Amino acid sequence: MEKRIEEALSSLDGIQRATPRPFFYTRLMAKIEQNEKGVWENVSSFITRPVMLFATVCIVLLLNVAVLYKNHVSSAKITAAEQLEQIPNDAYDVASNTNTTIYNIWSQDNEQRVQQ
Amino acid sequence: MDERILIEQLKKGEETAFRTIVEKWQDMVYNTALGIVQNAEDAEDISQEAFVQVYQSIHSFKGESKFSTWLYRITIAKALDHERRKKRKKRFAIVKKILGNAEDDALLPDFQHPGVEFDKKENAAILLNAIKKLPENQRIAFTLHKVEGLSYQEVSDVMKTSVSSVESLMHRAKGNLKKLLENYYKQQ
Repeated sequence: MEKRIEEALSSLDGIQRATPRPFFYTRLMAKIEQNEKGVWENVSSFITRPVMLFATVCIVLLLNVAVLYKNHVSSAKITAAEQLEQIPNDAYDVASNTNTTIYNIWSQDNEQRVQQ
Repeated sequence: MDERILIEQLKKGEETAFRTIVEKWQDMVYNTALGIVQNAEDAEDISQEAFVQVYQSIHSFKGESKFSTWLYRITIAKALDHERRKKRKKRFAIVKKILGNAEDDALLPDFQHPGVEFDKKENAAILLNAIKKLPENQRIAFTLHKVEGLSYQEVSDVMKTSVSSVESLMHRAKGNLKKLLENYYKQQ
């Protein structure tokens, strides 16, 4: 047993290098060319995958929803802003009316004094 | 031609330099890959992959180690990746699952290294089959030393470890191989 094990352990002594089949370089260059072509094929096949198409459709839909939502919010803000703008005008109107009223009262008062 | 000149030419994209590099180191790469994966077709694929990587990433070679050391590392990494992929495929192979004979296959010494002397072929096949069962580091160290004929210093450079670590790996590898061979011969 011991002898067989030792023989097996030393069986790789004096081993020669194995060599690849002839025209290794030719096959290698063919592989490199294939790899270079393969990059574009991989890109195109990746883009045209059903998952990618579905994801693209989802993104477009989401963008549409986002744009619609944004428009809705901004129009709501504009309405609110318009309402806010109207309040000072109304207030001004009230103030001006008040002023006028005061003026009218004042002028009526004056007229009465003059008449007296 | 000088190694450094060849590498500089390859960095400039000269195809003749690449051809010279391939022709100079193809046997080394192929023999290393074959020693690890123990399959001629797989070793050819790994050798091609290793040279494709050299072609694509020669700019990352800074010359801190010898070119052959860098090439050994690429080859070993590719061979180990290849083995992992193959194991993963095997794991998911339905036929293997049904038959459940993966262990039995592993016991049969079926690979014959073409560089082994004729009268040692049978013993070498048994030894190579046992080498496949060693832990990864021991297997790499043993293969580089025994199949590629590298010195412990060269093995340590490739494996980025110390010479004493390689000595330790080799000692443990031999111990494990003795046990594996003992088991094999007992079953015969």
